[in-house]
Amino acid sequence: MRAKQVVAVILLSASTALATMWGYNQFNGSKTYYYSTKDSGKVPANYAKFFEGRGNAAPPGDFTDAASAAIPATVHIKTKTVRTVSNNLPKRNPFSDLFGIDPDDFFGNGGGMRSLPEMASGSGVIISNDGYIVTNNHVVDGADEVTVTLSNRKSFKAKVVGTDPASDLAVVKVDAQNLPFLLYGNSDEVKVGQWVLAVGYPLTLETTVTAGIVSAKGRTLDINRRQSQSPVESFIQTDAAVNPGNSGGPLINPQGQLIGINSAIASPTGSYAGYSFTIPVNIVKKVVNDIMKFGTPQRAYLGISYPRDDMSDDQKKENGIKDGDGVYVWTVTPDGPAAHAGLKQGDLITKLNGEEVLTGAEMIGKIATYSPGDKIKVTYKREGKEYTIPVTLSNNSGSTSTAIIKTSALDKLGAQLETLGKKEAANLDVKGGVVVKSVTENGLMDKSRIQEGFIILKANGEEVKNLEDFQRIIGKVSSGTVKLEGVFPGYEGVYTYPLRLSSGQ
Amino acid sequence: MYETLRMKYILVMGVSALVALSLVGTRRSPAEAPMTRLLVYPARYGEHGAGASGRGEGDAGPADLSDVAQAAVPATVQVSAKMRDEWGQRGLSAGSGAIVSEDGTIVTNYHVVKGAEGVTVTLNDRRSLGAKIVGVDATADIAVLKINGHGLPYFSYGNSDELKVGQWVLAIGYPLGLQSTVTAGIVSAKGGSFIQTDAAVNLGNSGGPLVDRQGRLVGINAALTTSTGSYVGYSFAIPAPIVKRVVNRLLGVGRPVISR
Repeated sequence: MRAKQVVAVILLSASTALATMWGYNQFNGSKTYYYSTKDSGKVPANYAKFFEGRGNAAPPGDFTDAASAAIPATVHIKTKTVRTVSNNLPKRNPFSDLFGIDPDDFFGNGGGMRSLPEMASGSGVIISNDGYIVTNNHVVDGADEVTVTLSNRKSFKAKVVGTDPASDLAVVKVDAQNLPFLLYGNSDEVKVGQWVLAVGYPLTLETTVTAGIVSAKGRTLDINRRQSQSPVESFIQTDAAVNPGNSGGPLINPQGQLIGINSAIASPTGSYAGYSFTIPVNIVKKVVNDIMKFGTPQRAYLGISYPRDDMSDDQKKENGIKDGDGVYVWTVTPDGPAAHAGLKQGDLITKLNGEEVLTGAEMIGKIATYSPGDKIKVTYKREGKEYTIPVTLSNNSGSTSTAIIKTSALDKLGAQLETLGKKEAANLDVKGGVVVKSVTENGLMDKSRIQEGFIILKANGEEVKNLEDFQRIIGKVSSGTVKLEGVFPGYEGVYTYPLRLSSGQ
Repeated sequence: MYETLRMKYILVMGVSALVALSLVGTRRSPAEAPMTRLLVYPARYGEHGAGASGRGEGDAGPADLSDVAQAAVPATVQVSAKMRDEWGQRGLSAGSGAIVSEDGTIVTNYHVVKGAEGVTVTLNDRRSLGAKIVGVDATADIAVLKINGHGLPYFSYGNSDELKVGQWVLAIGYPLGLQSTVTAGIVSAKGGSFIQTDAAVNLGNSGGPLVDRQGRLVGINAALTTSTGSYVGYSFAIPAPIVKRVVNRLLGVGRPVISR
């Protein structure tokens, strides 16, 4: 079932193609390889050293080729955030009467409000030669200005393409061509004890490469909860030196492939103390592909809750949680995917698609690589016996039975759409329609100012009774504008929106 | 407890010199130890080849560094300097040093012996010997000491220009009042006047050698970037070509000089 995991999008297919090609060692060091989001299966030029007059891969223990491949693809990200804050000072300066000048008036800051630019910096990884860059959400979160500096000191203004606070990832884009970039590795194949390199711009330093080993996998720190209701954490823990400024930078293997995005450290001092945490690349791939395609991650849910991995024995006893190998099913969301498939409280989930899961974080990490609508095999133990059942994952808003639109014509709209239910149609006295369940920020629907809850009844004058109708009409119009007509339940009148389909700026 | 890694502010980072003040090592009576010249070992590059060990590529690790460590430790000394601080308080400055000739020429940092009233060198075999300051270069942060000896183990200079980011290096020294300590790391970055590594280096490492996998002296450990006062992953060494040039110049003069 590994094939299922392979999110069938361009970026990933490029990296899998590459892995095969490396196996055959068919490279010619003198060639320069380029790659863009439109062009797959080529090796970027920054990997050239791997093929210069040698065998296929770097000799064991030599990280120099990996470092030289990664350094040019690792960028410095600086952000500026202008915050208007109240300084809580009395409106009138007590000394102003003495000197006749109110400094606030003088600087034009009435009302005790001041704009303070806040500077911050982190790192990032170029993942395509046309300028897509992955970093942490917390690096660019709330920033008014994002600047990307390459290792050759060229600077670019960057645009935030999309963010995912739940996994703490973000995609930014710079306007450039023929950039060096990193290839995706496979974080499922990363083993505890194997060598890894962290690359980034820590503290006040220039590009810095540090080495370490994988210390653990499937770790949760529960830090993404500060920015998300449903955090996704399944960190790779390493002992490579990592510090403030490394955020968003790559963790690579000795073959120079990206295996994660450095995100956090555990430390009593605020500086490196031996424990660094990285978002596994398999989650990164999925989230990044979703952001590039839909503008927002398409998160899949199993519909259960489980006890925290660090729950004490006493707490377990209190809640009647039994220990065992696997993830304890604590509650089952009514009408959710797990409930539909027949999972019950007290079951121990042991495998997903045949791969062992020992902790809740591991399970969350695996599920984060699937999309709503994907069918996976869940193996669980009940009263000592093992069962395997298929489960169709859903989105968080509910059931798997509603079609989650994943077809290409509608993908680009940046919205979740559903066929209007029969009851609602009857209530509105219409034959059918399409409900806008949610709108992705900066997607085409959002740009056309279409709001959640809108029910599409007509597109370009043609009646829309269901998703198929809508898809057919949108499919006919490759660019330009589609006129949407519809209603908001509870509001008077018909609303019309021009939906611009051209994806340009 | 858990920190994300975004730099919230432009941190004013302390670049700490690695000299440990008032760290007095315990002195023991000299022990007999054979003194052999430093053997330069060939690199065991690719010794644990994937094919030979049957391991996958992802498990690639460094070749055994124990030969290099074994060879480098006896040529690394502890340097203690008696000094008075600016208020006239007596103190002891402790750092490390690298022997670079069989008759006892030792390289260390200028900041280890700056203002010293007397310098003592303790060899790896615990013999303590009085040392003479041959010359110092404050700008390069290099000092040359001399002890009376012959047949001492010593380092040959490597060419740090050939060092590559990602390459393995060892730092040897006497950090934090510990006995001779070897730490491994990789070259993290390079500049004309510095080599940055992630080998653990702390107060007391100042003046000690950074060596490559062939056991050659590629730098003199001199500083670290830290927000806590101790190692957080970034150590800095003075590249060997600079060390060699300064040492040769100071030796050429042949008498104590204070160079600007």
